[in-house]
Amino acid sequence: MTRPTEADVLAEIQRIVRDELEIDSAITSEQRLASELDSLSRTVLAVSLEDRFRVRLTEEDAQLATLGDLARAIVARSGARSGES
Amino acid sequence: MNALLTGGAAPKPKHGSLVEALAAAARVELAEAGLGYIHLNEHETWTTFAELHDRAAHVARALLARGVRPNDRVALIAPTSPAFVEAFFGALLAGAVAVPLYPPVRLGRLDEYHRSTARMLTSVGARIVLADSRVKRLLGRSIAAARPGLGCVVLEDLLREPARSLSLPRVAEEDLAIIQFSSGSTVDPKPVALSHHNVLSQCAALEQLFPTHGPDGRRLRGRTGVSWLPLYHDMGLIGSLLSAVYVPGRLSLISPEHFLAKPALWLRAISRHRALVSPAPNFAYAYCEKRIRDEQLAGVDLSCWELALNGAEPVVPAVMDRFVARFSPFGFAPRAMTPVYGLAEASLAVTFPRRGARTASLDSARPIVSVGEPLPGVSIKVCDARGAIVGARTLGRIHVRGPSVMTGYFGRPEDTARAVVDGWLDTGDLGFVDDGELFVCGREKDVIVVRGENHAPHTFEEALDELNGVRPGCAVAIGCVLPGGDGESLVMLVERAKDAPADLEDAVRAAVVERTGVRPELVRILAPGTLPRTSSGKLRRREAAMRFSAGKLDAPRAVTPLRLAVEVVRSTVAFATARLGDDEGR
Repeated sequence: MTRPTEADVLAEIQRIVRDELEIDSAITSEQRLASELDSLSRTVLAVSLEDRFRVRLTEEDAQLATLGDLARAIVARSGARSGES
Repeated sequence: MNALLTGGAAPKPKHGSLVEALAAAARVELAEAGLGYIHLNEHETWTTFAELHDRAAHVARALLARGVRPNDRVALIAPTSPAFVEAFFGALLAGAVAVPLYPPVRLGRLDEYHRSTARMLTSVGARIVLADSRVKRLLGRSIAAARPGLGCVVLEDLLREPARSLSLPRVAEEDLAIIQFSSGSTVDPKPVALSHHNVLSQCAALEQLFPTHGPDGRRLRGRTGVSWLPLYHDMGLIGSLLSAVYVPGRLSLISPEHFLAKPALWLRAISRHRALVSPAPNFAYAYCEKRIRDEQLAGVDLSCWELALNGAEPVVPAVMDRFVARFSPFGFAPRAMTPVYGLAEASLAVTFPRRGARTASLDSARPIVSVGEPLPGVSIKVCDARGAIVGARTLGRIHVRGPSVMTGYFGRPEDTARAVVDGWLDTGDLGFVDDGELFVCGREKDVIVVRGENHAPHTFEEALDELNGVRPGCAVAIGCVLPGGDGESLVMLVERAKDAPADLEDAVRAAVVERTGVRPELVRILAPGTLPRTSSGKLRRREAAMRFSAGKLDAPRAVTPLRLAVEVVRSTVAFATARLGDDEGR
């Protein structure tokens, strides 16, 4: 898999929020994770993104404030992973 | 006929301790008994109970070598995994008490998590904390606050330590086995202490109720279950894992977060393994009905599923009906849907339907689903406020007696004495008896159940403590089934301050989600003074909930000179009659 861009990850986040979590309101990169999504939604988002982009979200990710931060973390990590292999 | 039900003689547990139960299961072939761990891609790893026993003994010796002693509390914080199960039994084999706690929610905020984890670790006096490596890195603050004597150790490290030749202690049936937390009241979650005998009595009673023959009269081969329930929760730990060891049978485990992300995993696993039993709370049945698409169920046949246990939160009849309608084309048998009732203080289950699900109602109230008859060995009585047993079809408080009722709240003799009187556990739940079956209507204790998890209302209310626009201390969290709702949901009743912003409702919602991870289904912004209070100004949560449900939560009437005069006369009269001088109401 080629390294995803931040836009790819954000698009996937938007898809998960719309299709899997069935939240209608538009999701933007500035939105705060903690106040937008309940614990169930956060769990679904974390597992789905790990599965889709083959990355592991780690303990530092609890500190991520916005959806944009989350997308950047995933891009960075998927780069690190393909660098290893 | 009065509201006293007895479930007949208690079956004698096959083993004297969970340690003996595991040793017995270890002698059974994998074809009959063992544990499978299902991954997100549906790949499954199987282990025999013999392998589990060996690895648990390794953990037990490593714990003893580190200084863990019999009856020490060993806290476990890890996701559903072989390491969790090995550590759980390792603690028991070392003669210690296993205390499973929930791991942090992924991508969640950690402040509240640290506070509650530290509180739980302190309240059980945890000697050591075992965590997986990922969780351990997150636990720093909780560990620093609770300071367990032997620190926090990574599970995988214990397993990698060289084998020791220490002998394992003997474990007696009255020894404590597990402490599980219950949010049965407004105060801190309470540590429910269960002995080996408590837990084994529960497993023995459940085993008697599981079917041995299929609808065609054919004897069912083996006992196969599937569970995605968290292992820090009684229904997952005792009802699924420990039951599988006790029987012994085959159990496939799915991690709760994988179920949430891909609920079809659950039903597909039931079909693939021809599973007989699989439990879940009401919300999960609603979740599957909404989230699973037909194409995810190609080739799925649920006709094997004899017991779809439905417990841990109020059962909503409409949800059961929708689940049946949605999945009967895939072989799901309507009779399999089995509402049950239980609580952490009784180890797990208290009742179990033996005659199929039915509903009843008191007066013209909404229909309530029967949760069946007491388990073998369990007695139930429904009492009035003075503790006298009421008649049939009369609402009262449910009390339970039986061999799986807890030893007590760990280290809290006063709380225990309040909860258990002459062997009868006061559940704090309200219900009635009709034709030998129990119907649970609600709770007298303040607890909100969302998605099968209990929450104390004050955790939601405190989230608004510093929120601009909310009158300080003037918010009430209640749990109720909203019209057309799939289950109990969180409702916030909030009085606005003078300078309240226009978007206060959104702000309340965001603050509650951020702090607690639970989204209020409804936020009602109220005029100051609307919420009912005691004479000393304390909010009356139950009264507020009743008024809300009845649609009678009204703002105080505008103060006109005439009304003021009437109120003054009224309160003077009230003072004179009650001779109370403590009315400091706001």
